[in-house]
Amino acid sequence: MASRGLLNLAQATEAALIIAAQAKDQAAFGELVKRRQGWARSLLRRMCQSHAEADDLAQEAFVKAWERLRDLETPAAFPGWFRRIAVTTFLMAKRRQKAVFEEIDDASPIASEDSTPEAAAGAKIDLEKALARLSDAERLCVTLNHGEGLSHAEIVEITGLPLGTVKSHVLRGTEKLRRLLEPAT
Amino acid sequence: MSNFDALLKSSFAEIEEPADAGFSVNVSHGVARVERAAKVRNAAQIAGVLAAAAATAWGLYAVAGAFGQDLLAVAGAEFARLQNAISSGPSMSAAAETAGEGLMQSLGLGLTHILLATGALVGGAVAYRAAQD
Repeated sequence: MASRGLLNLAQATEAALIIAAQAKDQAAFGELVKRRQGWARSLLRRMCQSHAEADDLAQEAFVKAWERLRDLETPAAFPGWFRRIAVTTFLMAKRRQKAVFEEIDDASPIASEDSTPEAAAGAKIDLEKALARLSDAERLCVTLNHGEGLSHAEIVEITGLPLGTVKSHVLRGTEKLRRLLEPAT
Repeated sequence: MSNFDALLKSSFAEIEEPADAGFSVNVSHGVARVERAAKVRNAAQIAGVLAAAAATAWGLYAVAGAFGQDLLAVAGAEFARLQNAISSGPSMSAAAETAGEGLMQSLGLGLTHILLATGALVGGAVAYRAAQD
């Protein structure tokens, strides 16, 4: 692999890069990171409140992916497989911070809802800012449901949360986003 | 699909971070660290297995040296006793009893070596298992 030129690496398909990376080719994995980092970082940025934390977790997820790449059965399964690693990395980090995902607080307001100028003015804000106002659990479930297109059952499988909890987080998170994103009437 | 659902879908689709060279470099450093750690682990694993093998060989050698001859003697005595029992009926051999006592003494002397060899084997196995994990 050492003799392979940069041009070949850049032109290689993702499947070829994954197969090479499974054979411990660090350059191929580097190219894979280059191609997939935008998706991975944006996925984690939607789940985390801080960009720096999201990038740290994305790096951690890629390193874990490198260590476990031999477990990946087919290159086509890489996105779903990596998403699971990213979500697990996020959940582990949050659990280290003692975040609680299982509890549903029926009275939970939108974080800082009344204290921001946008909310006070009823102005439309962008998705990232709106997501930042949800709880960690709501943000996770909404991102996986609306952003990644996962079903409730798939979110249950990937997060280990109970189905009812997932449904509730998605419903409540979506409702909060609706109030934040839709133009004020 | 409602207007809001469409808005949500398009908003999620819009967010994709541009490639950041620094990010890739950090990941490659992380991967290099993991690989270095794996090499160290492998070396430790090999060293552990070699040490266990050497200790076992030494232990077996010491055990054989300590009471190998006694074992052979007992085996010979037992063989003789059996042969005697078959040929001349039920008469217990005093020589076999004496040989048995000798074996117990040798076992006592060789116990340290047995324990050492067992400890080395178990230690090697634990080190190997830990390195595998």
